Amino acid sequence: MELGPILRAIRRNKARFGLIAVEVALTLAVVVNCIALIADARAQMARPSGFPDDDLLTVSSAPFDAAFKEPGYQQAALRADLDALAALPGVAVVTSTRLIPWSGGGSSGEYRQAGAGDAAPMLRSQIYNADERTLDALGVRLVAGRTFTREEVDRDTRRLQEITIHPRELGSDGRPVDKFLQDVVVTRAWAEHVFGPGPHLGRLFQDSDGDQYRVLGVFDPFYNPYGWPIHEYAVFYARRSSSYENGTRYLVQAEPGQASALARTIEETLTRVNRLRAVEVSRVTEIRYLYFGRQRMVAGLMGLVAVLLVVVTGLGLVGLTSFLVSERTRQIGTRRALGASMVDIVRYFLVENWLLMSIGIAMGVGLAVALNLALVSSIASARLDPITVAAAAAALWLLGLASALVPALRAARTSPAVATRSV
Amino acid sequence: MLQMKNVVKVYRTEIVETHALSDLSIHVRAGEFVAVMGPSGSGKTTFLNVAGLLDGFERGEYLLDGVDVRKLGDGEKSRIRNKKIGFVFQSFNLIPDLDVFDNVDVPLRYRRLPAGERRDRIHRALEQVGLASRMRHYPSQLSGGQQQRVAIARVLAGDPVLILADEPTGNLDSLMTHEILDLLERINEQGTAIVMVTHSAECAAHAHRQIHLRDGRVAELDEPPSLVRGREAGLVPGLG
Amino acid sequence: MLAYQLRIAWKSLRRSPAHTLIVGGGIALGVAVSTLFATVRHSFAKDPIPDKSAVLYNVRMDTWGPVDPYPGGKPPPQVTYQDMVALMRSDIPARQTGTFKASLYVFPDPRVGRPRRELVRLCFSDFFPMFEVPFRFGGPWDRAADRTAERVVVLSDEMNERLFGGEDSVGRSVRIEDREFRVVGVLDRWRPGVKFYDLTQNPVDVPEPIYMPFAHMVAMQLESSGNSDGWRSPPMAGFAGLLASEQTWILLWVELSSADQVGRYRAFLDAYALEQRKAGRFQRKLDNRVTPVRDLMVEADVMPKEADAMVAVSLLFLLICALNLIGLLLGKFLARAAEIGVRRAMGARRLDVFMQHLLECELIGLAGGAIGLALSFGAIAVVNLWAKSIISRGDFLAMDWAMAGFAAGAAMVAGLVAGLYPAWRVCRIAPAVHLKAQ
Repeated sequence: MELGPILRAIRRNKARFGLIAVEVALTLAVVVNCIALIADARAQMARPSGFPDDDLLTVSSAPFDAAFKEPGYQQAALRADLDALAALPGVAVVTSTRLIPWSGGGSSGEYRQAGAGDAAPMLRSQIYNADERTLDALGVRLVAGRTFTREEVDRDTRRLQEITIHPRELGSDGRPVDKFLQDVVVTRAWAEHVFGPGPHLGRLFQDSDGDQYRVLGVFDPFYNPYGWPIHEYAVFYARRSSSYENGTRYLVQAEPGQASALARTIEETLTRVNRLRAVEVSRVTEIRYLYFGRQRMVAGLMGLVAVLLVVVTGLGLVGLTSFLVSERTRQIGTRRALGASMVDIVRYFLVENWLLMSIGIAMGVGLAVALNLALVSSIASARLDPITVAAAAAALWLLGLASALVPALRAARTSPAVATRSV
Repeated sequence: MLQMKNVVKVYRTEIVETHALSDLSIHVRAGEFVAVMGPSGSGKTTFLNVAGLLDGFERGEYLLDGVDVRKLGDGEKSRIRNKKIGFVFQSFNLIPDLDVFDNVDVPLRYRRLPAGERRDRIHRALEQVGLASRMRHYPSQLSGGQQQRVAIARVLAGDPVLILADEPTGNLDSLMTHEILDLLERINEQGTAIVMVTHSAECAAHAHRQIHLRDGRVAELDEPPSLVRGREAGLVPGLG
Repeated sequence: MLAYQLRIAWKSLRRSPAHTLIVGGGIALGVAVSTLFATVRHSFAKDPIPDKSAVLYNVRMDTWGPVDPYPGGKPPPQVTYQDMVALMRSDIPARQTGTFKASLYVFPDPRVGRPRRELVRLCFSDFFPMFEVPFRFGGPWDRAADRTAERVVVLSDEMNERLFGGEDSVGRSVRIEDREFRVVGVLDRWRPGVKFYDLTQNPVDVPEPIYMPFAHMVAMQLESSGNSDGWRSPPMAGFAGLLASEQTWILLWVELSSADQVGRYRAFLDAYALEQRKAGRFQRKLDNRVTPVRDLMVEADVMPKEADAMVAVSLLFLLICALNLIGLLLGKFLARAAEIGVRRAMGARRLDVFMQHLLECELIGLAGGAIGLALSFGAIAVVNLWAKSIISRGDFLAMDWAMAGFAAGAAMVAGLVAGLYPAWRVCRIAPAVHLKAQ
């Protein structure tokens, strides 16, 4: 329609019109990167642990009475706790384990492929004890092999007790002379990290003492945040946790929907079973919620900024456009006198606005990418995604249109008689 | 061509109601060059606004090229302004951000003419006013006389049947005044009717006939011009 | 002249109150948001102990296994027990302490409450003067108490509140695990923003509620409830094995008051490491670290990476707010064209007009900044409340003079950004054009 003259007129007033384009560009760049940060935070929060978090509860039992120093008492207390918990209605599986999903703590060890020389790199992994019920309680999804049987757990637990009582004989290299072989269950990420692609069943790896481990079962997914970047790597030994001296932990998998009711019941029940310790029950969903506090804060604050920005820019565009229209009242009157209809006037300003928005959005996309490169250099996962950019651009176009509408309509009502008014 | 009968235009504010035009009857035939004169406050500008469909009126009848304008909507009025009327303003009213070519182009765009035809009309119009070499200049780079010639080219490019000129030489020196008035005469010789509002008898002399306005209506033609001039000096009670 | 211009600017602002309010509000919003985010970052990054951060050093040694380095390639963040004992024999540091935390059962008076596990920090008496820990009642134990493993404790203000109702409990006794300890000191409220002396687990946690002489670790066979890293199995079973092992679980801090002292201490560390190498330890390349507080905070990544990004975003937000105000200011200034024309005709220079209007913008900036600062107080309170559920403390973010200064600076810059172009446009108006506008 009048694209040429409108563009040429814009070029003559680069400063004023440039302001609109620059505002739009900056807003697009900032909003898009806010969204990238929000998306990154939400992606982190959406990671599955590999466990049915909604149905899991962790129970800590911390004794303070001297009675607990005696191993026989400890065993009996442990048994009593597990029996009482298993008997509760709504409980699917109970186990004694130190693994607390989403808590980032625990033990770790280093391993390498069996047969690899001393120079081969050691790979670190989280390590946990599991009895015949633990992996079921955790609700892990086996992709190969199986979990431990009761016999295997008993056998390996006895072997460890033996070692505690009769320490192993050490050779000249400081390592035990007799090595043993143990069956373990590992996560798929760990197996692929150590061995490469599968199958992994039956394969062997060893620790720094030379003891060997054989893959009995593999499960996936697994994600437990840890102090070191080994969140997806875990090795489970067949071992019954029995030490009660510094407190013990139980993991309870509830029937679907029963977890929140069970939280209260468990505390009452266990306190009744034994008063000489403090009981604390948490739902894994609460632990997970706390764990992601920082991400929630980032998402919330960035969301607030993005919303404020859109509002502020919308209002600013209305103000600036109104001003730029009001400056041209005489010109509008002249155009009307020369035969422009009201629709022609509205169209002129909407087209002008659309051109400015387009220039601004084009600049904004470039600016958004540049800003994002800087962002990604410190937070690699906050990469921009083209769909977001396109959606934000479309939204800004609409915002520009909306903010130009009122000034344009007001301009159209300018009387043609303005043209003959003396200056 | 331009037929006004008993036109009344009233401006209302909260306090005062002013009759800018009261019972104005004017008849301009096709091809005529008419000067409309009168002291300040006599309603010259209002007459021009009404004549050019820039403003409406309360009572009376106005036929423009045979069309009764009272029945027209804004869109139709705009079309008539675009196709049939050409305006020349006292302060030129060129659009400062557009160059000479684009300024002359403005009314043609509203007519939805194809680019080739627009270009031809613009070139011809600018040649007619002698400014073809300045096509890419901006108004700020032109003298007053040149700007007014561009405004006239803007009128010519549209090929109107009636030109309304509002003190077209009011902001120009005497040399440029002569140029513009000669140009208008030449245009009129080719058949376009011109109604020129002016307060200068010198300018009015270029027209075929003169109409005097006083208090929003046509003053009696047998009043001697000297008396009219005396009234110009402000002795006549009129519009404030 | 300045006073005159200020008066004119003030009158102009008063003439259009709605306009002034909106522009001031826009700046206030930008200042509030950017100050909030700057405060978040500042709370992580600021010096936690400005008086002494230059003389406090954390000691680390690379005692890790010969085959692979400690993850991350740096020495482990803590030291072994045997190394701590040996290093603390040095008389070079003015003060020094090894420290770790344990989770122990505290038995209050049964009328007051049930037994509960509490975190107890074990340390040496130098800990308190080194880290400027303030006391309300009593004081720390002395070095003699460290040597004899005297059964004394220091309580935090909150623990004292819980156990003894907040009274002066010096001399009273409290049972921890299976033995009685005598209270020798009660702390005043001590809430460093970042727990700089222990960055290993949760750097923004509150300090422990109970402090006990380190020597009790052996007597009570206490194990750390913090991080503990080792690269080989202990040489023997049981607690003795732990003490003789390569497990690193103790944070070692020294106070060195001159560069010369630092140099001598480094030499001492190197000599010790080389000597230990002969005994078969320290098989890796020599890498002893003596790191001051702020450097350690940076190494430990105390500040979350998002904090910098959020500050950058908020500054851009401020910029955009200011840009959005340009249209409003242009409208107001150019509407006054007639008045400007008159002033110019009467001899005002372009510079005068420019400065006049810039001054007006900076005035709005100041006012907006003040409101923005007040708003940010509110925002900080809200974020603190929100954070309380996550980090168990509701006082992590705090406004201080540095942040108030930031707010003032931000407001001035915003006023400048918003006002520069309008002021320049209005001073360019030639007087003649507008005198004609009668």
